[in-house]
Amino acid sequence: MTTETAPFPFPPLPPEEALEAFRKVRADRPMTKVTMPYGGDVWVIHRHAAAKKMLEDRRFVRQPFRGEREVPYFVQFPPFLLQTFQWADPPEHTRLRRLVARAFTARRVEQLRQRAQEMAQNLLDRMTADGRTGGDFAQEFATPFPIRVLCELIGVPEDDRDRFIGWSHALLAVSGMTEEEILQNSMELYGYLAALIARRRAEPLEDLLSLLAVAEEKDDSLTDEEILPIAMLILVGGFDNTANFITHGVRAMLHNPEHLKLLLTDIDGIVPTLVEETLRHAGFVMGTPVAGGAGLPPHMASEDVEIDGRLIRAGECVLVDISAANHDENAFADPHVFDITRKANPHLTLSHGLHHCLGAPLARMEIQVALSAIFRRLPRLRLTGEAVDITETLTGGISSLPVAW
Amino acid sequence: MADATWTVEVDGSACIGSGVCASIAPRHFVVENGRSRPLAGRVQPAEELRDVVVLCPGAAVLVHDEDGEPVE
Repeated sequence: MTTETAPFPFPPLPPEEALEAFRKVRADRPMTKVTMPYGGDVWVIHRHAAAKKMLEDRRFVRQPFRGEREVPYFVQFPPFLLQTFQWADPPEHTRLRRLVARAFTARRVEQLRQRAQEMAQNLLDRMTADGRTGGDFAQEFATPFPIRVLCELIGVPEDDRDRFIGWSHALLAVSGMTEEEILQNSMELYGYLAALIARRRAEPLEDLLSLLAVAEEKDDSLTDEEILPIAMLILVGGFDNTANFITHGVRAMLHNPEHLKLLLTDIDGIVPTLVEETLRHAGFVMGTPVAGGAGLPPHMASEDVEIDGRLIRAGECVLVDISAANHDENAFADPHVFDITRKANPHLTLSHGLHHCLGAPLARMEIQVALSAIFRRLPRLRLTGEAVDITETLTGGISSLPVAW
Repeated sequence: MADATWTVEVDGSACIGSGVCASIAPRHFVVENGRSRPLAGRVQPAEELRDVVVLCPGAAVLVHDEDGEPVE
């Protein structure tokens, strides 16, 4: 392997250099075999077409990671996540996902948009109350906003919502918290959700937990043991990730005044493409270094499969290097350019194929509502300090972003 | 009864290019340039098409049976 001319993984580099490093590795080879900190070796796919092909190919499976096989990744996956349908194959995956899918259709999400807009306005009211002109964007908006929307969708009562923030972080922490603390938080969240499911089963409302509690599909229904991990997956998947991308979008705008100027000329018109470009590329325009190594959760080849001229043997693992794939010149025009009006943007940030992000319509709606509300209300928003990144959790995060307006 | 066919359509304005369809029913769908299209407009009834209709995140896949009733 000619990794000497195009090394991968590589340490954090200035964005321009990182983009060049990704380009070189894509040009050199479709994939690199990498030994992960956990779970051993994995083929990391760098090219967009090859990544898409793998993600659509059902011979790549996930079920083995629920048993003996450790997930090859840069952090450890919490055991409860491995019990969810993110790690199941058909037909079990299909059965579980179709029960939840109804809650996440584009139509249902659109019904939530207005409530989400009200929540965004309420948070901005609080930020700007009493003539305040500065604060912490991560703490006061990006973190509370997605959890409120999710709690609305799931059906968690208002008074209990703040507790979820602490629980979610604890569940994803892979260091910095003792096993005892993680266990304690998990138990509290499980107990709380189990009680709430029982209440909704007795008296269903118009929320996701009610839908799951009374779901019946071809003489089949979900047990509490199945509903709980699904609820947990939705919480942890939809909380940190969404908060991060809202913050990424804001940081990208504040670091690139010419783009912010363009956005302010037509906020509603540009926000949809800004959100997609944020998902694809914002990590490269926030003024912070970019490393090569992370990727989507892996699959395992159930038989020998050839992808882009490379043979992946049965039992070998494979994952997508989304940073490289999202900048593939064969899939994107001028991939190194941050173009907030980009038309065709088939990025793989929300994955592709069977395990394409269940919450994609919800995430898009939330990020659109958030960015639109923020820049409409606070067009002179600016950074006043350095962002504080949490790097020791599965989904990462930004715990502080000092701003003024 | 071998003539019983279903129709398959993809609403291009609702499709988000997730690839769920191409993964579940690779004989029926292909995703190109971030959009899905059916490989054939009329097909033999197939159980996997029901899964595609329900699991498509854009609710963009429309399948009708031989009587013109929506399949789901």
